[in-house]
Amino acid sequence: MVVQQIANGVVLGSLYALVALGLTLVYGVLRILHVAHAGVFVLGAYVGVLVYLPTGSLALAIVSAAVVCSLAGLIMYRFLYRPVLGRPPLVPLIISIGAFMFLEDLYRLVMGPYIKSLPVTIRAAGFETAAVRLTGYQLFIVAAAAGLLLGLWWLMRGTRLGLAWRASAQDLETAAAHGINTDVIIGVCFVIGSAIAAVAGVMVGGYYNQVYPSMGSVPAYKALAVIVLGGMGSVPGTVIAGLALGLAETLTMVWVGTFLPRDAIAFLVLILMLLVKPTGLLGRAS
Amino acid sequence: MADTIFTVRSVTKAFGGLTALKAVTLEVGREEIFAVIGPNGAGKTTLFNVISGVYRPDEGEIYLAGRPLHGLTTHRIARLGVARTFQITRLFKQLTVLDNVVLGFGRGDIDPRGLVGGARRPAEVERAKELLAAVGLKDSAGLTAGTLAYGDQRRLELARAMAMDPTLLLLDEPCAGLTHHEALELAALIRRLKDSGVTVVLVEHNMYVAMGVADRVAVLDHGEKIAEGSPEAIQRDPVVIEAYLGRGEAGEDRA
Repeated sequence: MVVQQIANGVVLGSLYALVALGLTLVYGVLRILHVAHAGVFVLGAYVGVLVYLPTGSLALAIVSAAVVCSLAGLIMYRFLYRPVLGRPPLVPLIISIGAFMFLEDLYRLVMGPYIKSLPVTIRAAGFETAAVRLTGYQLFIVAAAAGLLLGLWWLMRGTRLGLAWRASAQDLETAAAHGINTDVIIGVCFVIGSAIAAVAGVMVGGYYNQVYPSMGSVPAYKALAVIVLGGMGSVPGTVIAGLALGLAETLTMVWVGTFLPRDAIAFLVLILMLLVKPTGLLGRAS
Repeated sequence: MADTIFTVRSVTKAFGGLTALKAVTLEVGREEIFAVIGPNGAGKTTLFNVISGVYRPDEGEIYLAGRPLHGLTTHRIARLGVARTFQITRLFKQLTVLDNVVLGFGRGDIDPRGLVGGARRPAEVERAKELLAAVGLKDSAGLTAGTLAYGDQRRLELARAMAMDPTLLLLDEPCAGLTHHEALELAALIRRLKDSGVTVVLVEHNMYVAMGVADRVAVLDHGEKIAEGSPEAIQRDPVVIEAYLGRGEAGEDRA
């Protein structure tokens, strides 16, 4: 039972980490809370529905969602955030919340208010022992998350782009003074973060077999909890915090039962973290 | 003066009602060390921010080797050969000393060359170590930049700027926060950089540091250039003395 819940927690936690990564990347370079990122996640799920139902190809659905969402992320940066760079952080925050609400209603108008199903089937075999059972789809989620994280790690640690990116996250103006086109670096953060959220959107839609306009609301606040928990702007911190939240949620189901609503745990963990170490797991005091 | 390589022509910059620079004109010769001095608030750092593209000039033009710089973005200006240091050091403190220098070599953003050959190529590491040795930081390459002593941070900023292979090096109060001994060493280092073929413009609050290192000096006061000439001439200029020591009774006492 416990082993099974740990396995479930890892699957859930991988999805949290993927959704929160976009927030971390954007916060890392711009110090902006990109709340509308959850709207991009939902967009990914809808593109997944639109592509998967007629074609039956999960790969095609994921790639299309990633492409569409990258573009959406880039457009958001260019037209929502870039015009207000240098304003107090409250300004982009309000814009972001507004954009998120707009997106939810846009999906409701265009796609209808009802739940769409995304009945993903996958050929990969599951995994089953006496203690734990994982479906092929769950394994796929964990493998895809691990692959994306490895790719991101390579990009940040193994390329000059990544070095320039880390420099920009520390000081945009100085990075620019050394010939780094920071506009491009920020754009790359939006593209990569949005593409990863799109993949998560399709995977979550398929996991629960449902896609609906407000499916981003709960991930939106959980992602906020995850990035605070991980230490604002820290990529490894985000991954650890995502997994920790997934595990905390599933394990409390075992030990505490449904007495405590699962979605409240993110905040409990968040409050505890803020009391003990306000800078987050891997955050630095700034 | 050798042939002019860097020109600031009638540059004006205002912030709301405050005019930080009023029609400032400078002509700097190739491989010259040119100091801009002036009291606090004279517009020295604003001048650097306008040259390096942090601010756009309201009026006026800026040319480096005949190429216009005014109106370009900061990273374009940097790539055209303008490197700078800051009044309060602005290193990438969480990166290593070596990586700070390596970033000066470019191929940093969308450049596809940035995706191959790793974050730092062997030849780049080699060259970065040479630059670090030139500023006396040979043994610190692997340290995190933020852990360096302040004087060493200043040297690292210089090495990082030199990694960009600049035509023009802008130094914003390079000796601020240094001991007298460290300031002298840095002045010697700046002269060595000049000999390697770079043109240096530095702003200094401390007149005596500027006088010691510069070939020519311009004086800013309230955003206007009030004097220009050799260090010796500037030191004797009554207008300059007045700007520094204040007008009215204090100035009269001195006179």
